[in-house]
Amino acid sequence: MRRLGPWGLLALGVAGGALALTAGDKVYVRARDTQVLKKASPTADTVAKLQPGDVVVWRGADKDQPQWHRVDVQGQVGFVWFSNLSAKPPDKELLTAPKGSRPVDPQAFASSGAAGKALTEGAIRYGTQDEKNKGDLKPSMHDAVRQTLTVEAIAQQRSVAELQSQAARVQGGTP
Amino acid sequence: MRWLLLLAGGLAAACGVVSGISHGNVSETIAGATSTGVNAATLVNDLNKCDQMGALAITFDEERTIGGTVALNWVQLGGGLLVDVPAIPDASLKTPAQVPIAPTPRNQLTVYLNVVGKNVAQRSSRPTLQWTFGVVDSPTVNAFSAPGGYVFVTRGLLLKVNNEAELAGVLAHEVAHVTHKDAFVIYRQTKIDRCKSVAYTKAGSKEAGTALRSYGPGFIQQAIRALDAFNGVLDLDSVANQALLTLFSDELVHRYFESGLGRDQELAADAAGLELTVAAGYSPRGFVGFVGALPNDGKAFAHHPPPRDRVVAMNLLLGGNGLEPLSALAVDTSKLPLVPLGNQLAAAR
Repeated sequence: MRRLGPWGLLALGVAGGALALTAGDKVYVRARDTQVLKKASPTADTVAKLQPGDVVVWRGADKDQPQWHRVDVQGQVGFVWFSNLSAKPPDKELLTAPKGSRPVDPQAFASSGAAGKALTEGAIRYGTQDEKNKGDLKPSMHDAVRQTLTVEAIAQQRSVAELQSQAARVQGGTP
Repeated sequence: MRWLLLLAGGLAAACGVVSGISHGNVSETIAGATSTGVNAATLVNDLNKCDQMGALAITFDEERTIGGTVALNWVQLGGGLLVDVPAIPDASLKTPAQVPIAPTPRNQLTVYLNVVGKNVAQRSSRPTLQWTFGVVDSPTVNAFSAPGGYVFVTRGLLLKVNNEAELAGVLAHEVAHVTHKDAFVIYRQTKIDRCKSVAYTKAGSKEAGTALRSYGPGFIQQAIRALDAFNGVLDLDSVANQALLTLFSDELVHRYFESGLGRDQELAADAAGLELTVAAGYSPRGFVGFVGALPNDGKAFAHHPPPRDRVVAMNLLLGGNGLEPLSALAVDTSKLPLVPLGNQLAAAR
């Protein structure tokens, strides 16, 4: 029975060794557009593309390329870069509902519109109200609103491709 | 975050708030309430509403709104963000995808920080949050977060990091505070306390009135109307609740400055941050080394446990014995890179 080594344990979010994965266990996808590849190589063909919260069956780290983990998904076998998997599911987010709140999974959250919010109208009103712009502090709170909205625009304009490129830069050749 | 207090100077005066508000003798207040036309039953009912408000589940919408106001305070008190704001109206800035971003050095720095930060954050337990990373123009070495996905580092911190693994570790630590919802502990109590200040003020309590003295009569009346209208659902984004949002935010920021987060929360963020850093592909030696190089004088990262304690805790997590850090993982993590910093950091210098 194959078990995950200490590095994999840490990366899969079970640091401390309290949990250990066994082949056949369910694991969860962390990152957006996670690619499942035919072989343990960044240049291999794509078998499937997965989203945060998707479940795959963990089969173990590849013997020669231990950063690549073999998984079963949608009736197919493939390889996923270790850091895109987690032993724990992503958290659910609480969205406002007529009678209080309702929990939604990350994919539903991402498509709800709430996920893409910049500063809310309430926060903008907070920062632009006269009471908050009376003192001598620099920048003014109103300027802080404009700066924050600009940084949020920069953050939201980052593409999946940019993040994948960054991951490849860090990890040395992954897609 | 005490450095922010020093930077701010006039913050306390601006907020005019105190924590641990005393409302005096309740029976005296109730007696006084009768004389102001607010009967005892109304006061008790209002206080119950405040407890109910504090017990409500905090939705993402509320988290994002309160996080936004906290972020604005961090930005202002940190000396502003290193970013070039386009010369367009406020309304046009509200559509992030369409805001034109000029390729200036400061904007490129912010792009770089967001690429590094979002690559880390998407490995977290809240991968689909709209994470936002910014640099505040302060020479002090610090980093801080706000609920909803805001993470800021100081210009001084960027001058201190030696490689991208160190930077990623700092960002991961702050991401962990957001995913752990650490600020909620302070925020829940803040909501209850501030709401009760409004209730007591409505009932005629002089002590409560003193606690809210920096706010004008119209503002207090607006808060009282919001308390009266509360029916078990709290939408802080609505115009009707603007006074409550302001009261909650001002006091939350004040309490953050006073005490920061708990020691256990900081150590837990170190542990989770280390996991995230490794998950993103960086050597954990970067972050451990960065924390280990911080002076133990309490100036950098005030309110955190001493750096030496944090390093010991992280080395235990990594399986090291303190004498040979990371030895238990050396075979594997030694292959993980520290990664050179991007050239975009030049804009911080």
